[in-house]
Amino acid sequence: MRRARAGALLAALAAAPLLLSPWGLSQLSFVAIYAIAGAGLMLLAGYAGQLSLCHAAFIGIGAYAEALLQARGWPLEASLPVAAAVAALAGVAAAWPARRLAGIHLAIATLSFGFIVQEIMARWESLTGGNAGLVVAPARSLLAGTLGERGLYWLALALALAALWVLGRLLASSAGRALVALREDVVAAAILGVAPARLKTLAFALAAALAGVAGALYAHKLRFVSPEQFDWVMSIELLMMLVIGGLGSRAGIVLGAVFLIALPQLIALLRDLLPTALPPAGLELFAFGFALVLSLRHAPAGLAGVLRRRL
Amino acid sequence: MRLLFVFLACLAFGARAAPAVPGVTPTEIRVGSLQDLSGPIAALGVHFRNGTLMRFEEENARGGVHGRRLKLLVEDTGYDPKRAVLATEKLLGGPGVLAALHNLGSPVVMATMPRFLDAGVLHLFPAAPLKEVYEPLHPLKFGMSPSYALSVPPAARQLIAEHGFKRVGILYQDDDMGREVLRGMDGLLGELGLKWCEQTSYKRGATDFSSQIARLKAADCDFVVLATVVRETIGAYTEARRGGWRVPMLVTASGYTAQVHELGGAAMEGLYGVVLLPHPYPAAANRALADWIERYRRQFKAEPNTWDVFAWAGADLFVRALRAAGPQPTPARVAAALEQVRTPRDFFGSPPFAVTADDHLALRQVRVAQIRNGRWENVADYLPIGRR
Repeated sequence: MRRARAGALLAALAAAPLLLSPWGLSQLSFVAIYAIAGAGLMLLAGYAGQLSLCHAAFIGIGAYAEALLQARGWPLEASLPVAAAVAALAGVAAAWPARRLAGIHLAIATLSFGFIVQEIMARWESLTGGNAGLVVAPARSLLAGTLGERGLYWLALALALAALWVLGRLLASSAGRALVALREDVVAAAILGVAPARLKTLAFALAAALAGVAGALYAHKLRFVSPEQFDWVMSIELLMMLVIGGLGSRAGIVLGAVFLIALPQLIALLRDLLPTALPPAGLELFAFGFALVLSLRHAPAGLAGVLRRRL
Repeated sequence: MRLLFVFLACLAFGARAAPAVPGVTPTEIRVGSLQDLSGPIAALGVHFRNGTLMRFEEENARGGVHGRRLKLLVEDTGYDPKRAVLATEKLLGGPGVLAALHNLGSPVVMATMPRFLDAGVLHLFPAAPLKEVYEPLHPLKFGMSPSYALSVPPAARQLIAEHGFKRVGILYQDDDMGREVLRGMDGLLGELGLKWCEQTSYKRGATDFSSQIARLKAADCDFVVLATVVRETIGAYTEARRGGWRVPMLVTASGYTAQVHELGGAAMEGLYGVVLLPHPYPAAANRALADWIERYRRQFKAEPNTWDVFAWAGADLFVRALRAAGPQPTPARVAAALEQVRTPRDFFGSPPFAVTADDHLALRQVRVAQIRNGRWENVADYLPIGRR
């Protein structure tokens, strides 16, 4: 039964571009892109317990790498893995202070790392175009030619499913159990033979690589990248997404992404139904904040926790 | 999983049929506008919305354009390009829009303009000082605000010629805005055979300008260009005056706002500013302007400013073009009409606007104002600005 439902959902997701308006399809694309980045952050923060406030920087590095490589004629088959690899390298760099830090100190160290990356994006004008940003062309692939909105969605969907699958496999492995042990108690884990420094570096690298993939897709989806897009607000947004969805749950990643992307759109739709021609400025932000507080108050284990209770 | 099915069903429900010309129904003309009503530049977004609404409602009160009411669909982007892309697709779906008017914010405009243009929708007068919004020439895109590199040099040239300044310095915000001003001024100084006396910058968000002002003073500049926004303008100018340094300073159009003298107080007296469109002061208003300000206050319970004037003027150009395009408007017809429209100097004191077939920037004039007795006063008439 469960398998049949999953199959039906998958079929519905695959057929979505044929059924949905561009607006609906774009929301799904963003959900898939955020789910990819969320899978990485869930591994790092949700399972390994490493609070990263520089995830937007990894996404930005992936986005810029993809934009620059595609502009130099690289096809997607080559640019996407390289974007992921460049982001993974940045992840290794960010992990360097993390090897000795935890909690609030790690949060501040990663936040600073994010500032440094954003500053480099703004200053290295000859490469990045500085604060004026870069226009990004639609994704070009050797096999599929130029990807339109539909093609980009299918790619994002496939990569999101793959990221969630890899996350599941990893958590079921001994490395995954070691990561969870690290979160619970570093000393105890080390006594049991887990190498904390190496494992943290690995978790950062993997999480950053996934963020890099998400960033590459994000660049094509937006068709424009600039340093200000990849600020700490985006990092907080991603963490918020995981908490709303449910920390420690793969379904929670997707539900959190749906909440983050689709709820403001739903609010905007409801606003259109208001009788007044002049809805108060900031109404959407207020409604979103209210929904956020409500969900945290009534579903501390996240949306995935609510579903588990119901089923 | 059930939740995801519900989500998919909701998304599918969103698809609706479009009229023959997007945004044009038998009774309505729909116009979209991406504004920041909740993000970092919400203070501007509200005024762009209000000014546009004022002009549309004036037209609707007269029965609309060729019998169709003008409907403004404002979407809040929060200055987030991701939300802006989604808002664009929302506007383009269903009955669609004939035009996007006054979209606000450079990243928002850069991410969404290609989508509007690809959909064949007019992209009119975005509130982003980017050359890309009117160049290279595209049949459907039109700009209103000249870039800083275009708007600052003519005003600076006038002051330099008038006062014989020889030692020009600059304080600029270290971002694209500041660099644009620097680029424009580099060109002007080259033409005049002058060299920078001193250049100094600050990071966005800075609140202390003592070292920068000290550098400019130590270099003995006799004229300083401020590529600053509101708070920084007040900070830098006050810092100089506090130290007894009374050098003339010219701030870019981003500092030409009533907030500068309201918040900065008497210390701001004497500051020069680049004016694109005038601030609507009630005290010096003609009858039409006084009436307009009164209606604005009644409707929005707020004071209008230069951004409302911008929004009103852009909406006015659009309405005039729409009227000229005839009873069956299409984006191409409105664009062609826009290239023919000539506006008179209006009751705000704005200069005439004109776009032509080979120049889609509507405002190619600036003037200089100075803060005198606690308000901006024009000190010279509008000057033409160059093409580059």
